Amino acid sequence: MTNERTIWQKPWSYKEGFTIAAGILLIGLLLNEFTTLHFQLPQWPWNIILGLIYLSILLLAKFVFGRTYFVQWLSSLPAAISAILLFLLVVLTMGLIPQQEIHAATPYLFDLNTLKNSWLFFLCLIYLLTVLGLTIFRRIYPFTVRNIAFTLQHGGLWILAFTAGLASADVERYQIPVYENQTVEYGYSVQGHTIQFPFKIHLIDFSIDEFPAKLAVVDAKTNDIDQSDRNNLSLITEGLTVNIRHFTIKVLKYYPSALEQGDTTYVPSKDSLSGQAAFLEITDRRNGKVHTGWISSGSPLFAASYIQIDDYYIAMTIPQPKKFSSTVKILMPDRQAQVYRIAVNQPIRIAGWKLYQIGYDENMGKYSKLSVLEAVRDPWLPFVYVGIILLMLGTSYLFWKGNQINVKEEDHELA
Amino acid sequence: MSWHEYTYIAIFCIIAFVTGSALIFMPKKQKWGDILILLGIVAIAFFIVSFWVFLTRPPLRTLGETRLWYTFFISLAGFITYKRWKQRWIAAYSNAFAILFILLNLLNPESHDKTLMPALQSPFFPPHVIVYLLGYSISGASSLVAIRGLVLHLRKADEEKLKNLLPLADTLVYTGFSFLTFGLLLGALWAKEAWGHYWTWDPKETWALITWLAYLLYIHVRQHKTQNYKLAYQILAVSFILLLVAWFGVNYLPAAQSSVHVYSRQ
Repeated sequence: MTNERTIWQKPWSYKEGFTIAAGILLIGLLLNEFTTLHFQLPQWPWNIILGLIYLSILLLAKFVFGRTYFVQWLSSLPAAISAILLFLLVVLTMGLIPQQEIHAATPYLFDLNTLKNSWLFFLCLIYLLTVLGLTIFRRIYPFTVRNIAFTLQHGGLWILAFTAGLASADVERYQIPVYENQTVEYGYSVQGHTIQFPFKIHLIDFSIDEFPAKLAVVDAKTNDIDQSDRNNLSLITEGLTVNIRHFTIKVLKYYPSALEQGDTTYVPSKDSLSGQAAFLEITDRRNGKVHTGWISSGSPLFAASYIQIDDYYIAMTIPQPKKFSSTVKILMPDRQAQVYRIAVNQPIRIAGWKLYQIGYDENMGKYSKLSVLEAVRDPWLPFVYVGIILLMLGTSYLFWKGNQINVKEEDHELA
Repeated sequence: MSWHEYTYIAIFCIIAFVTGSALIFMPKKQKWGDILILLGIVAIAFFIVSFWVFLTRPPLRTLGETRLWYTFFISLAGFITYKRWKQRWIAAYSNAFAILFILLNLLNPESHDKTLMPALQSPFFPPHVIVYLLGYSISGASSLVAIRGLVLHLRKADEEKLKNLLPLADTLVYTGFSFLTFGLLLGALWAKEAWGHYWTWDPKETWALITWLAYLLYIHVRQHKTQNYKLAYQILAVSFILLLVAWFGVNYLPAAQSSVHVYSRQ
């Protein structure tokens, strides 16, 4: 390679790669700016038809035009580097400019705030997939261990990106708000669509398990929680003794679920409107005085209570949710009703849908009677998982053999 | 053990890492240097384990907690690389970074918090985060090699010395990149179970992908321009900045206002 080589003079290398990438960038930006529609792949079956057409073009390129210089160059390292760099630039922009969903997007220069649904992103992905695809064709044969690992890495990524791209048009997500003792069969998408499910959901119970509240000393003048000592925010348990500022606080009794009795004491209770309560013994180490009293987290039935000593309150923080879950009965025609529990990280599968626990009435906290579920359907999921598994296998080889990969060969240069 | 006892462990580690790193440069005292560095690593490992027991959950949630792991992994990765490649400076550099993370923890005390929000209660949680911490530590170490390379370049060190560093950088990148890939994919599988979809362009996901692409670019450039070590070092140095943003910076970016990954802000 000499320095006098002008652009488009063979052999092609970085100059041509970056020129092609810059061309795609420019076309993408112009399409973004001058088309009113966002780019959106059509839904089933049109996405699979387009996908198959693209795949045929790729095969045609390989097996009919495989000997043309351009197609050969597309499977070279400079082409790969230009495709990665271009994709990196677009994703970097997505990382720097806050992204919005298209149905709620505000106008933005070159649509840079809705990039995942833009022409630019689509073109970059096609360029990356094309370079990746042609490279796999070149290396899939002969079957040596190294080529298999190479194919697993690149093929896994190709399948993952290709099917995830097609899936983006077909993934359906619907929120289902449901109150206790209510039966629903409709879901609502954030885009404003409504769907009727082939099943009905009856919410038997929504419940939140809480962590114990934390013990806090609050400065009465500023209302700030004292943070001077790292150990000040301890989860309350019976027998706990902590030193915060000049107080030694001992938890004599702790009821995770209690009701107020009279104005001054608390008793354990299973009532659904109960709250947390603790009986404390506080020693003021400056003067040796001992105070005792109840503190509580409050509930819809009683206000939170605290102990005031001079300029300080000793109180409970608002308890954090540990687990929230819905007990539901699923009713389907011709089938016996079945009871399931849905919790965060524990979705259930019903008739091709996955049901997730996503929310509740946060103003009511653990007293919420409302549960928000989400139904998700993604027919492409198995293919995406195949891509993920292949990529994991290929990566295991890279991890195992990584330090022996020989970078001295320059066989990728096209003559 | 809790954050309360951390101060003592931290001071011990700092002394061990500083004197250990100095001693390994003295031929006759190298063995004592090795022992001191190892003691520091063991001390931090001991703290992590007992802190885990104390919290009754893995200490992987807050930035302060992840800094513990970073201290551990970067000093361990540095020590192994130093032994394997006979490069003393990498042990010194990694220990300096480990000390930086210890100091950050000492200067920014966090109140400990035993609670773990429901979304994090999953069998995917420990592997996802540990694999990522390893990925970050090892990729970070590769960037230390790059910085060393660029410093040597500025000092006009001889070409041979510069090129000899590259295989070390490559090894670290391949290993680190493998972990980053696993972390990303495990995260996708977990996201499907927890949030209903494997990829939602959440800012943390986007930045994880950016970092991944940057190291992917390095690997491909290395395959092609095998002799251009300066370019390789520059890409690694930039990758390191992206990695730092992905890890620490995302919480502060305007794009992160709605991230599901911001747990420490309460």
